[in-house]
Amino acid sequence: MSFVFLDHTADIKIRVRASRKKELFEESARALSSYIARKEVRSVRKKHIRISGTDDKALLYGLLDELIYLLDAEEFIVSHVIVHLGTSSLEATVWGDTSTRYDGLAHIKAATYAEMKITHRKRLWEAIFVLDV
Amino acid sequence: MKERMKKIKDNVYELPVEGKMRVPGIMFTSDALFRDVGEMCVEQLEHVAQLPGIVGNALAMSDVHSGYGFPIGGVAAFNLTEGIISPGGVGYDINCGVRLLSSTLSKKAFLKHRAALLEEIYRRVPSGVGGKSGTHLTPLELDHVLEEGMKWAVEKEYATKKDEERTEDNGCIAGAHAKHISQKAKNRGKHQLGTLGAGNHFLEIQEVEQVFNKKTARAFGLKEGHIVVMIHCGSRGLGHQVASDYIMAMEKEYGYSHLPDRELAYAPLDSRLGKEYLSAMAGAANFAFVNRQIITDQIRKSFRQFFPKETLTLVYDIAHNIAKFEKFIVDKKPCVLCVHRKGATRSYGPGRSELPRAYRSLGQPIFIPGSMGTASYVLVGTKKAEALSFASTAHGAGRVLSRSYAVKHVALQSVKKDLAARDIMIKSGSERGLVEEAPQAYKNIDEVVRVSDALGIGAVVARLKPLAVVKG
Repeated sequence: MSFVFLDHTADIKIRVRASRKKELFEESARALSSYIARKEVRSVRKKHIRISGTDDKALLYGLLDELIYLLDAEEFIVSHVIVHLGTSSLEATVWGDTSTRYDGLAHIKAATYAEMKITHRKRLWEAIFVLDV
Repeated sequence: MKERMKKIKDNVYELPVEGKMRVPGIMFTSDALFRDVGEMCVEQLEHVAQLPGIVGNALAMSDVHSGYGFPIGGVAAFNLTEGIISPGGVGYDINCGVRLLSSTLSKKAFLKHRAALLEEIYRRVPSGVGGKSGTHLTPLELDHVLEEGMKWAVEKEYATKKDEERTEDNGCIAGAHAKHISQKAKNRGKHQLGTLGAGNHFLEIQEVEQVFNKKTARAFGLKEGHIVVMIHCGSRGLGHQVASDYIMAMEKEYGYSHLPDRELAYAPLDSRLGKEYLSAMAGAANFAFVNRQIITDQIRKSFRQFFPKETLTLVYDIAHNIAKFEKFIVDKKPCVLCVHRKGATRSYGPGRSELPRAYRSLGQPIFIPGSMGTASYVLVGTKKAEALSFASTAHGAGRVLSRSYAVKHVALQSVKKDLAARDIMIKSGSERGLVEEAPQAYKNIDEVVRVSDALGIGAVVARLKPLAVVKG
């Protein structure tokens, strides 16, 4: 599993790769955590979330939206998630920490569908997405 | 894609109708600015031109850069019969906007207290991620903010009647119902009223460096050498959540296979979901007006500690991410259109009844902030803008470098040194933010404004020079 920040003029563009689809969602959450905190976030609190969506892109959008919500409304910063994929839904255990323990967090306004791609080629899953910052 | 754009006259490029486009795309830009316009930006303009019910042209202002769905700096007007409303055409930060406060203080008087005053403002106005509001709202009060906007702020003595009159739509966009805003959005917003946020949002204390139009400047309360305060922020997490909620709801209701870009999810203007989004958007916009007002209240209190007689008069407050129903003449007939402005400023000319009485004979004040540390401009709306651009002009400098490129290639020390060399004092919670917003990451604001002025869609009134900045 890996992620990398790509160039984008106004916002933040991320590419994630994984060998399994569920890992693609998990690695996307790690990328988000890394962008926000820029260091390791402790895994001392957890929450359960459920996302519904008609396809993989909607599920990824929904997952990112929920993680941004947790930071903004509940002072919860994600470290990693463990994902269980269903049909048209996703359940996840979100691990993380209280965000007020971290300084200089980067801001994200929202997840977006802009330039979003999810592909599966040669046993490799790849997602590209842009965050509005 | 970009080679399809043709220069049709000075500062105007056209993307002719092709394929599924219903109307041409028009970009107001100079040759120099056009060189930096990306392929994706042109593609997004083409997508907007394909939307149902679009009237006239799909427009891009001189500060255009690629966004999500709509380009930023994009303007599109839709008729009420086939037309649509798209959250992506408003932007995630609903009613991101700018207000300007004028003062009678001289630069010299201000500089004596600059550091201490900046510190005081930084202390009073929460900024950055997790910057929590000192304004505690019950759920019921939050609903009042969403539905009443500046009227609530006047009742609670955060605002004067004059502040209310000098805010676009009197600080209350009609039709807002709190019930159309999700609990999630309210949870994000309830601790954020009166906070600056992060990213490109800022407070700036500036000097009126040069006045180009004395009569209008005087009416706006601007005098060379005097101090003004500019505030740039929006509806915070509440507005962002409203946008995300309705993008998801619209694609659930209408699917996405017909969209050229999924971020362009829309609903017909006369549909239930379209109306609900408009109502929620109005609520988020009202929240943003009040947000800027509470920040204003804190800034006024800070100034009073050092300058007890200084009241700081609101010049005007403008929304640059919004959709509104406005009257225009199309094909010689008056009609009401839903105008989406995403990173564009309304530019009403003289005579519009929507303007405060003091400005009605002159036109609407327009504020175009530069990038951090560079000049900002005050313009005035024109009749020509109503004819050419659905009464719209640019909203800012517009990025040319990505944030990640800036972080990799611009040194923090050089940004700090550069600001110091220009005698600009800065307070920021985030060093990375400083680098991301470095002036070299943006288009040349002078050129962006020159195009607006040359086309006559927003006439230059004054240039403002920053002296002290709080970065979110």
